[in-house]
Amino acid sequence: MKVSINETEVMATKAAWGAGRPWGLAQEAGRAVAWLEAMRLPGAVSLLALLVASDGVPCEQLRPVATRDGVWQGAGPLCPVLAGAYISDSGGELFVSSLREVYSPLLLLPFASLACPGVLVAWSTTSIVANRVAASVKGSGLSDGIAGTVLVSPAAASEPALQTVTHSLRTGPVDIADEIWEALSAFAHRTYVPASESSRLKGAGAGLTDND
Amino acid sequence: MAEVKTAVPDDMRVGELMRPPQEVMRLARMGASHQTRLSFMRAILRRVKCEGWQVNRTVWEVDDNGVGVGVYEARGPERIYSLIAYANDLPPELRSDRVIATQWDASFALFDGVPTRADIDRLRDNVPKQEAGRCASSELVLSRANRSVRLFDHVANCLSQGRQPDVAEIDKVGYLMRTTAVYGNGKFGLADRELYCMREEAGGPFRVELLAVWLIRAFTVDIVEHMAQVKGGANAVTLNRDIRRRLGVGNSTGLGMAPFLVTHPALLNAWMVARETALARVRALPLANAATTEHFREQLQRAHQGLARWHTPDERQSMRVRELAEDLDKLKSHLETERFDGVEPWNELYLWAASNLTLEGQEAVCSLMIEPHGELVDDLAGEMAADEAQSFVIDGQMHTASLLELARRHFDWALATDFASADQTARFWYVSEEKLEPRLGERHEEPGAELEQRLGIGREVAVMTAALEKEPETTLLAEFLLRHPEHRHAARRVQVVARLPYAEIHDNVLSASMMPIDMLRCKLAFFGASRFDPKSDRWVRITMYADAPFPDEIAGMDADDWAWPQFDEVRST
Repeated sequence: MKVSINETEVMATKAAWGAGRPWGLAQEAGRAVAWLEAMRLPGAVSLLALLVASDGVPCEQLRPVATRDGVWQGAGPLCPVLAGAYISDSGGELFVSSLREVYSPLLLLPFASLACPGVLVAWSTTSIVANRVAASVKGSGLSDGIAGTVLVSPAAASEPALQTVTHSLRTGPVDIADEIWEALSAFAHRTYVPASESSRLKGAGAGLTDND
Repeated sequence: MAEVKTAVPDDMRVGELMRPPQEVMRLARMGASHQTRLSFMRAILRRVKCEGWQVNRTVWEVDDNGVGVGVYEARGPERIYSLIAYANDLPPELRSDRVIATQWDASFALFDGVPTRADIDRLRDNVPKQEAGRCASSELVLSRANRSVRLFDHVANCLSQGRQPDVAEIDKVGYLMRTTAVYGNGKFGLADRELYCMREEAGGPFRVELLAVWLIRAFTVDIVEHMAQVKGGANAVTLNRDIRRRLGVGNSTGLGMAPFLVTHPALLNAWMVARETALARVRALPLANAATTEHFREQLQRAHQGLARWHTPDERQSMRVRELAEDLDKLKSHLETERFDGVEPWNELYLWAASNLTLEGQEAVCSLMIEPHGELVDDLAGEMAADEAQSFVIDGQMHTASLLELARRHFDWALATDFASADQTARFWYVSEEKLEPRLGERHEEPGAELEQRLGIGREVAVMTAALEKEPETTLLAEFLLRHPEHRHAARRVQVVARLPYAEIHDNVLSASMMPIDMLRCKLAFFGASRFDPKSDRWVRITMYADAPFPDEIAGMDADDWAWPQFDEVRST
């Protein structure tokens, strides 16, 4: 399905909220997915995998609890949106972090690359060097559902790898597979309130004739 | 020799005279907003005139039942934007302004460039379906409109019999058709704003949407003249231009629009700062010259006279229109002896209004004071866009104690609200499963509050503040939010309003006494709408572009003198 970037962001935000993320964090998910899709990287499918894998798991169990020695670890696999928001909140501070067990590791990329002029995000067979508008991707694990260890570290903007840009930020609509869009819609659907006869009239405040 | 005062306001004085957010960000005042010369429709027509845009109807394939398509090409210096209008023969029982409607009298797309026959055919399968269809990034705006049945029929009948319609009838309604939605920015597959926001003519807020509405206005007249021609044949006449100009485009807006001002804090700030800066610049003028005071007096007369065309059966609003008339009477009496020769004469006038007039009157005076000062303020119309993404990132290196201090400073109104009382949490905003549109529920009477939209910023900040008070002062915000992601939204809003002081409404939008139409009116006034006609506390009809030039006459007319109706009354023939 061809969708606008704005539709993508709205859908991702609602889906994350529907899966139980607090609103302010769901907004981060929306922004991250919109950036990835604008880079023509598989953001929507990564978010879907995260939401399916962590459905019903409280944030408390999805966040890093130890950040000593640059090693971040949680009670179980980490949510990349929670960890990513923490990276984003830390701003341009230099960080070298190793994250143990992360769902959908690609979702860390937007937070790191929007917070820092140049970053390296790497896991198992995949490594990405990126800045705000371009990325150089090596490896085939972009859509990995979980990674054992993810390294996030600063990279000079002049990093040689960025000389071979494989993805860059583009405006214009993106293609998202129908089944992914529908599965995200199902999460988003949880945020809607079913109508009743009274809410139909009262909730919108209409009920008068418009045939005038 | 006496020092000669110049007519240029001093920057520092302008800063001092800015009305503070505590005053202007109250819903009661926002709900009394009037259009100003910075309003978007005004800015669009100034550009169209100044750049010499040409508008041509290049396609008109409408049958005797009024079904078919018309295309209007608006050619600017760099690009062409085309309104594609699909006309429909709608059975009366299907005519509804509500978002639950599935068919309309007409539907529209604003196309980026000149559409091919294939584009027109593709869109014919989608645009009339509105939300149920799909657009592409070649389309910028999607809209639809219904007839005002009584006025449309009256005008069609008169014209078909070779006579002009009754001006009194025209003024009672004010438009032939009213739009019930004008969508943009990526909705339903339309182009994202990012695709065109760097264009000079399309970068300001709602520029493409309101350009489309101006072209829709031309279509509403073409379709009524077409129907008159079908009916009357050789007897039919076209609409007299002076009568035609009294017609705007109606709009019927419900709750769908209300959350916008809450969900776009940076944009709200930009709009408010522009308008308030304009007002402060005028108030800071050390002198008033004869030309501007004359202009002001003339516009005041026209505004006063124009109230006769502001019809609303709504009790609250009709009382306010009556009060506004009394306010303008008071102002005229006050001006009988006013010579504008004091120190900062416009400021004196503003202060007089602030202590003698209702909110409707005060805000009308602000608009009237800004009006004769185009050279002083029109640059501000170019500073009303804002990118929400730029204020999205949270500074997590701040200590929680600092955030707490900012919350106490900028949300004092919220921290003084008793959110434990049933009245202060009486409402909840939600999205209905049925139409995916915003609705308002009664928290203590209806189910669904656990799914409420996060629009009650004041309450969220109050809850976060309570949590922050328990934190050690030196906790980094990033650490706090990692443990408490539920406060992330409130933390962001506090940081945003600390940078953008007009970003938040200083009222509780969950309260039993909150009037959603106050939010609608504020937004619509920035658009440039007039004649607010509430249909309930959450539903309002308005008129857009009434008295403005039509595309085929703007080249030969003043494009910026239509906010209040002209004196020269046109009589029906």
